[in-house]
Parts: sequence; C-alpha cells; structure tokens
Amino acid sequence: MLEIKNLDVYYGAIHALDHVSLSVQQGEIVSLIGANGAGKSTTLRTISGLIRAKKGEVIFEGQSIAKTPPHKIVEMGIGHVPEGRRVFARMSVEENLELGAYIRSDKAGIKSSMQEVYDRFPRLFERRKQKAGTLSGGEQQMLAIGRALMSKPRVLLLDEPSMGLAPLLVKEIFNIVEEINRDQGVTILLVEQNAHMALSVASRGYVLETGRIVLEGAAKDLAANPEVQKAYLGA
Amino acid sequence: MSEALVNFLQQLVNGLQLGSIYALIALGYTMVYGIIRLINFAHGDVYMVGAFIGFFVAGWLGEAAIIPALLLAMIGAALLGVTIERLAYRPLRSAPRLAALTTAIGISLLLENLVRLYVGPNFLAYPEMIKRVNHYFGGVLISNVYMIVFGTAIVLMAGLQYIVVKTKAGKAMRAVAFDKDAARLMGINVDGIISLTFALGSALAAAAGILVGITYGRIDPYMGIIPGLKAFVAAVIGGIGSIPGAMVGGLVMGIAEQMVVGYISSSLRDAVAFFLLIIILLIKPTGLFAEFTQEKV
Repeated sequence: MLEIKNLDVYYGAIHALDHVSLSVQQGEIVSLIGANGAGKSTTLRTISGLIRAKKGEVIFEGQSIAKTPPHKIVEMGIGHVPEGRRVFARMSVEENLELGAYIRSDKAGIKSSMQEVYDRFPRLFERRKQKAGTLSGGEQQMLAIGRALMSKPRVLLLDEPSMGLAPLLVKEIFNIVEEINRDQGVTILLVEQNAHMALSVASRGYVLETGRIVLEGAAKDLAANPEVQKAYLGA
Repeated sequence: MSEALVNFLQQLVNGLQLGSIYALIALGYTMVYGIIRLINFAHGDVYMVGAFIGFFVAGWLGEAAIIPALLLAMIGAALLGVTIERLAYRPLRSAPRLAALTTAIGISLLLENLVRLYVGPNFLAYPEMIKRVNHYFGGVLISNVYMIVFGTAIVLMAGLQYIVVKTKAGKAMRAVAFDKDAARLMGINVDGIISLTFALGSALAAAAGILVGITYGRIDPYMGIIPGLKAFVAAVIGGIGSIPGAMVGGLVMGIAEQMVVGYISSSLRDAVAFFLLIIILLIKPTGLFAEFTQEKV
C-alpha cells in the first residue's frame, strides 16, 4: 500500500536518511523503532511531503508521491500525527477537529466523524469548547490522533504517540491505536522510541540506526532479537 | 453642553475616524506578520495604489461612483498584494528575514516611483465622491462623509472578523499562522492561504486609501509612507499578529493623534505615533493583545 525505496534525505550536509526502504501492507501496523535522531521522524515527514528526498521513491497505492505537495498527499489518504502533537493551541478542541476535516466538504459526514472521535475520546467531548493549549499532554495526544482521523485517512503515520506520557496513558494510547487499526481498518506506520510497546502492537517492524535500516522482520522476532533487546528493550 | 466638552467630543469623533483608517491599514501589517513573520513595508504603498485606483475609476465612471471605485480598488489592490507576495516574497520564504524585509522596502520604493512616473509628484485633488453635508449633534460636527468613512471601516472590519473566526478559510489562516507544517498535515494549501492573507490585507488598505481620499480631498504617490508607518506602529501597539489588536491599536493611535493635535499642537501630529511606540515598548513590548508571547515547543 505504501512503499518507500532507497530514500536519501539530507539536512544541509547531514545525511539524515541513507537508502531507507520499507513497505507497509494494507491493514498492517508497522513499527519503526530507533534511538533519538535515528531518522524516524524524518522518514514520516518525507512520506507526508514536509521534507523532500534527494533521491528515492515514495509510492502510495501505486502512485509516486515524492514530488506531491503535502496538502495533496493528505487528500490522497495519508494522515500524519506529528511528533509533539502540534495541536493548534489557541483554537478550541472542536476547531482543531474541524481543521482535521479541512479536505472534506460533506457536512453531515464531518459531523458523524466528529461524533466518532468524541465517542472514542469522551474527554475531548467534555472539553470541546476549551482551547487545545489548555489540555493535558495525554488529551493533546488524543486530540492530535482524532484530528488526523477526521480526514478519513487510509494510512495513518503516528510519530511518537507515547512521548512524555505516564505509563498508564501510554497503554491507553496504544490500545486506541490498535482499535483504530482493527475497527476502522486504518493501516498504521508507527514511529516509537518505546520499542517494547511499539513491537507489541505491530505485525512487523524496522529498526533504524543513524539513517539506515539495520534490521527488519516480524515484530515478535524483533522483540526476541538479542541485539534489539539490548539496544532498545533495556534487557 | 459646555464648550470644553463639545471640543473634547469633537476631537474624539475625529480621532475615531482617523483611527478607523489606521486600523484598516494596520490589519494588513498584522495579518501578514502573523502568517509569514514579515513586516511588509510595501503595505503603505498598496494603500496608496488603492487610493489611485479609486481616483481613476471615478475619472471614468463619474464622481458619484464610490461603490464601484471601492470595489475595483479593493480587487486591484488584492491582486497587487498577491502578485507582490508571489514574485518578491515567496522566493525568499526560507531566506534570512532581513532579505525579505529589504525586499519589502525595495517594493515600496518601486511602487512609489512607478506611480510618480505615471501621475507626477504633486498632489492630485480627489474626486468629491460624496457631497458633504454637515450635521451637528449637540454642537459636535459629524458630517455625512464622516459617517460613511467610519461606517465603511467598521463594516469591513466586522467582515474580516467574520471571515477569520467563522469561515473555513479563516480557520485555515489561523492554523497557518500558528504552525505551518501542522496546517499542511491538515491538507491546507499553505501558499494559497498566504496569498489569501495578502489579498485581504491589501483590499482593506485600498479601502482605507479611498476613505482618506474622500476625507482629505487629495492624494499623492508618497501618501502611503507616514500613514503606513503609523499603522505599523498601531499594529505593534495592539500586539503584532493580533487582529483585534490592530483594530484597537489603530483606534488608540487615531484618538491619541487627534487629542494631541487638538490640545497641544498640530506640529506634533507625526510625533505622537512614535511616542506611543516608545511607551508601549517600555511597558508592554508584546502589545495590548499579545499574540506572540510563548515560544512554541
């Protein structure tokens, strides 16, 4: 469904991604794990078109999107929950969700999507008139995910949803990620430093190290791999 | 009413009118700053071009053509603003800010001199689009020109406020102003929204240009310099980036200027703006409606 081939990305002279290739099949949850600065976010930002690759291909449902502007990529069906949530802090929860549905014009459909988000995250419903900046970290993460779902993506790129959250909340967020995948059939590419959680929900995984994919395979094999355990699972 | 009170109210009324014009211009500064962090020093000249478009439209269609003049000037200035952004600022989007700022000053000089080339350097008498009728309310003079100028300014500002707060495009503008990448991830065409911002700001400036022409009866190619600077100061006083701030800042500026002219000396007319600027920078540098206070994480 989504495939990247031999991606080379530079920040000035820094080689951020070096021949990165990965693929995500329809219906999967795929995790991309790695340390801080390994290039995980860069990979997602390149898929969304926020950064341009110097070389390589990004193919979504058979179409090359390496030169497509980001807003068109959203229209094609790729949603992206960015690192650090990036909610519109000065706007209300409701306005954030409305912006999530920016590419849609079916008013009734938008309303029912919003209701779905509120059903999934009742706390957002309670705070729908509140400014997003006044929400807690966990609530902001829920809002960021809900906002991305408002565009009805077929693929969701999730960038460090667990960042800065208490362990219980992390578990809640990951449950929701699984639910979204299972109930709504949304394919998910998940980037995480919390490798344990990321591999527990994924079917497959990739390990990124200083811009290179060093390991890939079934999530449970990766979780059992001694190198992965040593480097990322604190075993 | 006592003479002192009548005098005070008269200054207040005049100040509100002047201030509503500053506010219209200040909105363009603040919106553009809010969205691309650029102080668009060519904005005062877009206001001037708007006044001239109105001047020529009245020349073709007759003096009474205030509504077509206003509409065509707003459309023409919107196109001009969008073109300036597209050709001069967009290529510099990722360049150091100073480059775009210098370019803005260059565009300002270019517009002034192009208009000067075409119409000459002298004042031109503005067509009398409205036949002045004076009304007195308890001794305070409020002419029909005043009512039309102030009323137009208020209607335009209310319209802008509606667009920004209620419409989808307005929400997209606020999103882009807050976080461009996050806005892109919503499917917002950021370049399109930046163009829209320039179009709206320029259209309001053009309206201000015509209202000034009607009020003071004369225009020239350099008429945008001082009002442009004052409106910029008004935007800073209100809190640059804040739309309500620009409106309030403009009104404060107009009233302060008129009070100083009325009670102290008209030779201090242009000094007031900069005096206010110094005061606000000392007391509350982020402006009355601070928009840019906390650093984004």
